[in-house]
Amino acid sequence: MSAPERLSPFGPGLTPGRDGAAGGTPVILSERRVDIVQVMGAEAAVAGLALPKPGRAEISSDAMIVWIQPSAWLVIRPRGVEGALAKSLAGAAGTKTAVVDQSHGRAVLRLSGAHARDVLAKGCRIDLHPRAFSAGSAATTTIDHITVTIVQVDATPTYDLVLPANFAEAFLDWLGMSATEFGYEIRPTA
Amino acid sequence: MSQSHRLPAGGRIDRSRTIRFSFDGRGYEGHPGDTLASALLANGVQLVGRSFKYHRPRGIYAAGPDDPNALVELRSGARQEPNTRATTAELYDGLEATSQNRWPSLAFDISSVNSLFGRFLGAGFYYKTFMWPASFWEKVYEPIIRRAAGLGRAATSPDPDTYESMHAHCDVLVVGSGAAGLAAARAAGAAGARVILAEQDFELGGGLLLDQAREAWRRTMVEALAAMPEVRILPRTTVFGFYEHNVLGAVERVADHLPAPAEHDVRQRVWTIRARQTVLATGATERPIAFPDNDRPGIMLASAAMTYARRYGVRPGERIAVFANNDTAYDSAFALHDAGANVGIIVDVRKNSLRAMGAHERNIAVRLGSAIVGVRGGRQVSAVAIRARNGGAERVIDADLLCVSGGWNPAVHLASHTRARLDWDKSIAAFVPGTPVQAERSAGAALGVFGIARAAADGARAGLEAAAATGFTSAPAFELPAADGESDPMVEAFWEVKAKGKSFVDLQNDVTSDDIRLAHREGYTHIEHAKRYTTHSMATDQGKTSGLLGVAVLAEARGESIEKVGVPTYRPYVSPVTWGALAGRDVGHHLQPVRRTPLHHWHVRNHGIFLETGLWLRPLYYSATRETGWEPILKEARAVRQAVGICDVSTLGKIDVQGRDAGTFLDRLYTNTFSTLAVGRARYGLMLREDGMMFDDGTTSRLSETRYLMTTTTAKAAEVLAHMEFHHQTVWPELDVHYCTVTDQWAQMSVAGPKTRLALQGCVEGLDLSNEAFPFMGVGEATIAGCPVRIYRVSFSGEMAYEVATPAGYGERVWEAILEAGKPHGILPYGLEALGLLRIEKGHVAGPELNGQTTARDLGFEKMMKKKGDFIGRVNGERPALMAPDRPRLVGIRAVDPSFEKRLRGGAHIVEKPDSKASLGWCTSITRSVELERWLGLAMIRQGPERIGQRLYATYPLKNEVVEVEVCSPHHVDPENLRVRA
Repeated sequence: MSAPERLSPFGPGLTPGRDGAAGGTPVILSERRVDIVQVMGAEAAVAGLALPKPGRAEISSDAMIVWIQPSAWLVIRPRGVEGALAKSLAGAAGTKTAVVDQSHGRAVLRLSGAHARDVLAKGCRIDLHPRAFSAGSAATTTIDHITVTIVQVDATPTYDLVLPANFAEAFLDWLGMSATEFGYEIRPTA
Repeated sequence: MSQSHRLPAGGRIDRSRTIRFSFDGRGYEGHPGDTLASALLANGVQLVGRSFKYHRPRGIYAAGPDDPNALVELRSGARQEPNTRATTAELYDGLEATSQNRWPSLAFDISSVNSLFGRFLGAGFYYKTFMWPASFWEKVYEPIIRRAAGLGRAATSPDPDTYESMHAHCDVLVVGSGAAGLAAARAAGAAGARVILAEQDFELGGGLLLDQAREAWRRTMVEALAAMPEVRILPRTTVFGFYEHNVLGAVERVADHLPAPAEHDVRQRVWTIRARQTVLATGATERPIAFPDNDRPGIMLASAAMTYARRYGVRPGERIAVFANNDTAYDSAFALHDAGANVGIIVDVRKNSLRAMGAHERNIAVRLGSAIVGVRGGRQVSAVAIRARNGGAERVIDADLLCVSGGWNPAVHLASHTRARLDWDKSIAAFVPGTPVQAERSAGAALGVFGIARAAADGARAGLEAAAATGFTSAPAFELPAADGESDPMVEAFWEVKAKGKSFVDLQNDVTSDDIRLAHREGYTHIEHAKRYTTHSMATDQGKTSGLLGVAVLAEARGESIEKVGVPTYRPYVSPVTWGALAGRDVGHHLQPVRRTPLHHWHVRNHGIFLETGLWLRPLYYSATRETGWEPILKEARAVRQAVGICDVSTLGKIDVQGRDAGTFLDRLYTNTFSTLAVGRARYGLMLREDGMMFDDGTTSRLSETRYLMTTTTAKAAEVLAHMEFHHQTVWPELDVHYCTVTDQWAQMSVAGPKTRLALQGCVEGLDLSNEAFPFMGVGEATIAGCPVRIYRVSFSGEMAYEVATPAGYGERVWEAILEAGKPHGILPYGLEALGLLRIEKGHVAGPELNGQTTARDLGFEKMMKKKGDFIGRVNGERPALMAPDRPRLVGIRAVDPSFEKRLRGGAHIVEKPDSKASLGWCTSITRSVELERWLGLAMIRQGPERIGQRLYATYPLKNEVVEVEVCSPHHVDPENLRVRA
């Protein structure tokens, strides 16, 4: 029996619609419906997975592998059967590799648009200029005191922000304030 | 007459539009491009405020952020803003300004009698006078001093505007957009560097704004910069501090020039700029000369007068006199003359001037070798007194404006923040930045390189060097302005005219040259001491104009060079920054992010009354009517003792620990052993700090041979993880162990009470919950409502209890399924208050007992200290003082009186007799008991366990309360622990 639908950690704040300044080019927000598994170990190895170098993310059409800290990565895939991704990775993992399901413990918010970089700059101390950070770059930092892993997906720019689920609503609160100058549009969960 | 002092033509104002504004309730007109100061001068208003200490009348003195006098209150109501410089406030339609520090009116101020008693109000007056009696400090002296001194009044209602922070990175930051700054930015930008150009003014150009002949060049430069995609121009932005690692702070006044910010826009924005290289093109500030009554309205820096004439098309005076020791003041005089003002005389302390000829051509009299020895007029200068330096008769000349120039000080503040040494430049008698310490360089007037052409060339040099230092080495050249006979900034150092009267060296803080000499006589000979004793250059302008004068007076008193005396250390902020801007968005509940449990919205919908605990919002109790007091709490606690209750414990820290050495790792972290724990079982563990004090506690379960799930207290979750990282990384890197927080992954709920099993059996599938199959401290997996759950048989309340964990996204569904199944058994959700009540009754320790000062022994856990094997805190925990028999140790206390009349209080002292002053310990946690129907609690008492059965008193002198208590076991409920095993 498959588990029922999960409640979004973003709560009622992520209702599709437009807010903030009208007229300009809004930034686009949406929750990504994914499974997330943390892989750890200095000698970590998972058969069939290429674990990226520090500061990088491997992005393909159906998966993303993100370096988050020394000897730790997140494997992010479109949502499937509850617990299945963690189980399959654990099966393929080497003996010195730990696999932890974080599918409910992390939330992923996709942010894109011409002003996405300006919005993040209001709280992000990392240089996101294209010369310093581009598609495939990943960094973990704090924004509004919240630990955030920023993955740049494309040159639009589009970013996937990986957040602790308990802070998802608080982050959305910050993001709304920061994006109000440009206007923002919340799109349905993808 | 409106704008009586506006010149018929010229200036950078937009004469096609008229702006209305008010000052002290009177209406005036100005133009876009005006500052409040220029518009006031255009209307013939010179008197704008009263001074800080003596309440002397003060006028507009400068034309920029260096002005010490023209502080006004801007706007009204919630937007009222004190101490705003009229010289930087941009005029907008409807602007309201009010003068400060005067009563009842600006023209007639009662406190100005202070000036008559000035000889008694010298340096250190307050220190010497308001000494005794000490009881007068707060009640008498302080209110008097606060009313008499002080500047404007802050708004009393919350600021309706928002502020925000912004982070920026660049290869080259250029501070200042004068000729040097523009050239530096363009050179670096053309080389391909990412450039930020910050300018505090609303127009780019600095001194170029006064130079019509070079307007075309200025415009070309600004346009070229605007066209460069990697150059960001920030006007209205003051770089206020240069910090470590090339981090600079700046404030952008986004909407100060508007009546109110546009919708969705902020008022101000604070920038944190991380620059690989910085070019400081901050220009120079003209300084005055001290002479008696040099603070009268109608006395102004010569360059400021020129600025008002050239930039704003204002004639700042009708009959103008100039007092100078250098040639640049002649340029100002000529500019005023050429703009149509009547410049009568230039008084020059020097024996000759290269510019004297130019003055004669304009029919301006020049008195060389002379000085201004005084002025006539109180609220406005009416005449100046001149005397030759070598003596002779005093001559009085009519004048309503006296322009003063004592030379120029490079604006070295930001360079000084970097701790770069300041070098004395004799040719300009001023300090210039020495060898850089951080990745910065100064350029133009900020480096002592004066004149537009020279500054531009120097700026281009600095811009190229800065770009090259960041790897951008080839830059196309661009046109620089040609030299055109600019005055030599060489000055004859001259600081003070010695004559009878008050000669101010700090106009904003009312410090005179005599105050400096007094400080010296009284032993405050170091510049930093003299500064603090006299408050010299400690006002909001930080002595930008006249700070060096005070240094010179002190140097003379010491008989040493100015170079030797030095200037006081410059510190951020270069110019005042509002608290609002610094706070940014971090106001109200945005100060910290709110952490919500996966069940948060259920609690909201079901009338949870919330409490902030750390970042978490947790339900204290539930009440549809929002009733207060004990009733809702007791009801929830009784449900747990008598039936079944459910509580959200998702906030507990949860750490997944994996690896071959996971058991070994936990054995070293905890005082007890985990490597022997069977798979599928949980164990309570104690963790100590290195110093042997209690650190944390919680249950840890073994999920497989190589995997454990730790739980920590809510408060210590992050600290425990950091503690683990520290010891693993630095002490035992050889251990094969990996761990990470999974706190957010799980929604966790404690289901407790004698009917718990019945309730859970109605919804749990796939796990036999009978006591035989699933005993106390068992761990198992099951499903509830189709959702996967992990069930731990652990108890915090002392009742039979199961903690149910489910992946966070299923939290609400599982919670509701349990409530549904528990309904026939009387289940109630319970909050933090009932949770606390139950744990105190049971005698479980929590934050008040784990206060960082208690050891495991103090809390009665000596049996949990394993005999074999080391653990963190073992050695330090056995230090003699920590083993001393008279240490306070944990016991229970109960009110002897079974009524609830006399309450216990946390923090109450435990004493032997009601009136005893000798404390035996203190009460850590208290509650009303649902089990024993009286007040009870936990306490740390000397020889506590030996006192069990004694009658003592809990005394709370703050409220005059004394309650008789009986000392007992901390386990008020079920000390045999039968219920949890039922």
